[in-house]
Amino acid sequence: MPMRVLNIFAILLIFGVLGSAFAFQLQLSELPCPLCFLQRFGLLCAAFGLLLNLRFGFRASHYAVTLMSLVFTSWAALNHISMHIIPGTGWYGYPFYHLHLYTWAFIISQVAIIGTLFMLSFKSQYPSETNQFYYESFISKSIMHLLFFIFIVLIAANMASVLFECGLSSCPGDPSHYFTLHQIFK
Amino acid sequence: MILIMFGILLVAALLGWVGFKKTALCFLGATLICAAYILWLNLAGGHLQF
Repeated sequence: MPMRVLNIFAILLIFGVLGSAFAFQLQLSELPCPLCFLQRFGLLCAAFGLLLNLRFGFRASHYAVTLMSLVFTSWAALNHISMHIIPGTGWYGYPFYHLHLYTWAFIISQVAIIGTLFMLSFKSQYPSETNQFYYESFISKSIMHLLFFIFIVLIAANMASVLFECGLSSCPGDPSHYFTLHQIFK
Repeated sequence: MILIMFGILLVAALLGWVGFKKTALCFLGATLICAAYILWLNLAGGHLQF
């Protein structure tokens, strides 16, 4: 039970990060660049690994999915940081508590890697050879379905964002407007 | 390409939700490889348009 709560908490944290990225996008009209989309994608995949834990029971392989995705996110974020680290190369987007969102993405993915390693180290959560039975209460099932629903809504929202920003062609490196909306309403 | 990536992830999420775990993992693996390739393109040549 504590591991289930910990997994739900971690998923909600990732959803919170992605939700705040959307809030930045909509409130401050800060258009996400292709690398920003890659970082969002990595965080979504990380949440998927934890959701698999809630859906099919706790397995080390599910945590492996989360870890791989978080490593990918940190690579994408590090790539983004390295593009702007040299003085005079500028930055992308508004800072949040003195750090840009790609720097936050790197920090969050590193902290999440440590958190996932901590979570996967508890042996008691895995089914033993004698007891493979996986019990789920009605409440935990409902929470799992709700989280899956939010997850799918977040993916669909990101897809809509890509579609509005880039259309069906490749995304511009430094987007200035929603390409598709501009084409429709010009 | 990013749109396709998110599309495959959406399919993987739906498959995982309804209970097809292995198929969902296959889709997830495919989309992660696709994302890693995009990142590699970016690292190798500085192609920002993908």
